[in-house]
Order: sequence, then C-alpha cells, then structure tokens
Amino acid sequence: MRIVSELDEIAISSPIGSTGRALALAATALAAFLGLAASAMAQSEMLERGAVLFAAAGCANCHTDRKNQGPLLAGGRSLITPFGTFYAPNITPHPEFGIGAWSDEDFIRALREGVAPDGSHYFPSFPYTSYTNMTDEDMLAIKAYIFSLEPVAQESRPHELDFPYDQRWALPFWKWLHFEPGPKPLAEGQPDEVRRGAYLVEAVSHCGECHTPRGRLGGLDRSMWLAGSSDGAEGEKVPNITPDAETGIGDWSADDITFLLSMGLLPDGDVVGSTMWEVVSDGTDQLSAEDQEAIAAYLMALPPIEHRP
Amino acid sequence: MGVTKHLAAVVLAAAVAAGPASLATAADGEAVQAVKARQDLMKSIGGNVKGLREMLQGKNTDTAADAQRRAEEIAESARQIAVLFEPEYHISNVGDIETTAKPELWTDYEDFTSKATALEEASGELALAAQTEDMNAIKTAFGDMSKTCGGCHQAYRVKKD
Repeated sequence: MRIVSELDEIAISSPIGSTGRALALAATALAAFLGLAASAMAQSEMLERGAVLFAAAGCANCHTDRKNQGPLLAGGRSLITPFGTFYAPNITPHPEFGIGAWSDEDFIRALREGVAPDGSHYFPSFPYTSYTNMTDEDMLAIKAYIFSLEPVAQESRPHELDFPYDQRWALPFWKWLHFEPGPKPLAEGQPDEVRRGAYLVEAVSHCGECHTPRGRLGGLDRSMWLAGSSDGAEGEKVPNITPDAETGIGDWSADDITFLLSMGLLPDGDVVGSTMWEVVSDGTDQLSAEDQEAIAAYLMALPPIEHRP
Repeated sequence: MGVTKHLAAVVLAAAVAAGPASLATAADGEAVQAVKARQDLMKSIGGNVKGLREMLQGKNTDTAADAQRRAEEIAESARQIAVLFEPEYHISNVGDIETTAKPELWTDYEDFTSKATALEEASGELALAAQTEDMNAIKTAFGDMSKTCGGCHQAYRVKKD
C-alpha cells in the first residue's frame, strides 16, 4: 500500500527504529482519536451552550407561529407594532426556505449588522440592534444549535407595513440614525456580575426592545432605558424595570427577580402576563442560576427612572 | 341538577378558603356566583403560592409541613377549576361582571381542563416533595408547579395592565 510504503521510506530515512516507528504510529492514531473526541466534545458543548443562548435570545418566540401550532422556527408569528405587522421568517436549516445555505459569516453579519446574505437590510423588528453586541462565539453557538433542528419547507410571509415604514430602501438611513454596530463593551467598570448581566439583558435577551420606549421612527429612547413603554408588541403596556421605588421594581429583591426569570412568578403570587411568559418559558428559565442572578444584579444597578407607562 | 349542586358545593368550598369578605350572595345569578367563586379560588391559590415562595426566600417562618398544607390546598383548588369554568359559565353568560377569562378557554376547553389537571398533579408532587423536607426538592417541585400556572394564564387569561 502506498501510504505504508511512504511511511516505510520515512522510517528508513529517519533515525527512529521499528519500535519507535510503531510508537509514532500509535501516537499519531491516539492523537487523531483524541482530536476527534475533543471536537465531538467541543461540538456537544457548543450545542448545549447554543441551546441556552437560543432560549435566552428568544429566537423561537418570534420565529415560531405558536398560536397556530406552527413548526419550530418555520416563521409566521405576527408582531403587531405601531408601524404595521411584521412576520418573522423561516429560520430553520432548510436550504431553500430557511437559512440552511448560510455560512458562519452570513449568520454573523445578519446578527451583527442587520444585513442579509443578499445585501439587503433587515427591519429592526429583528433585534440585531441588540444582538450586535453578542460575541462571534455565542452567535455561532446559536447557529450550530439552529442547524441541529428540523428543516421545514415553508415559505416566509412578507411583512405588512404602513407607509412610509414599508420603504426598505430607507433602512440604511434609519440605521445611520439609530444603530451602532457592536460588539461594544457593556457596563464598563462595573463588577463582573453586573457586566455579565448587561451582556445577557442588552445583547442576548434584548429586554430593552420591549421595555424601553421608542421614538417616532422606532429607535429606542436610550435616555429612558428599561423605563417601560406604553406601546409594546401586541399593543401591550410594558412595565418599567428600573429600580425606581414608585414606578419601577425598586422594592424587588434580587430573588424576586430570579423567581420571575426562572418560574414566571410575581412577588404577589401571581404569574407574569402573556408576552413576558413567552420570554420566561423555555427562555430565561433555561439560564443558569448564576446568569439569572447576574441579570438581577444588573437591573438593580441601573439608574432608577421615574416613569409610569 | 347535578351540576348546580356541584357548583354550590364548590362555591361554598371556595368561599370558605377565601374567607367571608367575598361571599357570593344568594341574589346573584348562578353564572355570576361561578365567576365570583373562581376569582376567589384564584386568589386563594395566589395566596398559597405567595406563602410558598416566601418560605423558599426565607421571608416567612413557614415549615415544610406548612408547605405541604399549602400544596394540598392548591391541589384541592385545582380540582375545582374545571367545574367553575363549565361552558354554561362562559363569559357571554355572566352579565357585566368583570372577568379576565379569554373566550379561547371555552373553544379549547379540553386543553384548558388538562392544564388544570396538570396543576393538580404538580401541586400533588409539591406536597410529596414537602414531606421529604428537602428544600432543593421543594424548590424544584414549586418551580414545576408555577410553570403550570403560567402556561394556563398565558393561554386563557387576558393580560392585566
């Protein structure tokens, strides 16, 4: 066999004897095996990490038409906003109807820059304005997890937007006004736990997309960060979650917050309202206790803002 | 009528659990009584959930035995849910009393009652966990039970502001 003869030649020309050669072969085989095992391990760790991030990022909430028992990530859930109705697209790994043909670079570009593989711009209903601050590594873990799911051949439904919000050509201008591509460091100079919480709240779970009021063109009003919004998705009021004692959650303890994130419970024994339940269930409840505590630490460290949505 | 008798028993049980403040009066129609009774029932469950949660947070002096009692009360309440939401007590039959039940509750009635059964089972599990006095087991069972509350409210309760 050719390979063997080549190895023999190497062996002959090298100072190692036959025992050495056998050892070298064994070592090579072992290294190859360990390499495979390590990459399998890395792969399964990446999937696990991706599953948690996928849950915390709430991907399935918009990309699945749960109301009509639609298949996971096949798109179609409506997001009713003051600008019109958005329908999240199919992001299953189907090569034609989903994102199965996307490269790692395509995926990162979509989340980081809000740009599709064909160069068109996404509406900010897709919260790349938040995801932009995720690390490449976390984005790719999410991609790996999505690609491990079932591909679904279902066409995405186009958005139904009111004029002038339906003008996709205007999106670069909107982005210029309201979007700053990341990743930028969050909660700089704060303790590690708060910074981890900032990453989860701001980049991954994109809490600000609902809990922060928007201006006329749909950009977030950062001066009112997490201070609640009177026109959230589905026309719901979204509460102020800054630590203001009167209008926010200033009287909540850290574990009041973690009970909400892990079980959907409010301090009074009730459960959270409909949209937040979607966020908690198979969402923030999948985060580790440390991550939930980090979110609590971050929220409690925010400047309190008096605002009743 | 069997159902009416059953309702009367449940209304009474719920009223006893919730205390005399919200007793439905005899003058109320049956559907209104059912609405009041189910609202009292939910308040009673909420009170027990709050007590359990405060125990887990170390905010009250409840013992594992208290947790078991609360879990059993919740299981008992859960058994009454289906009766109080029977089709004849549909929101369209209750006059102008305020209710946060969604119409879907009755169009998907089977799913609704299966969710009530899930609460009954999960609170039963919590009662068993409480018997072990293992706080971690209690917390896990409590979390599982709370999720049955959230899942059902998400589907069948109008969101409060």
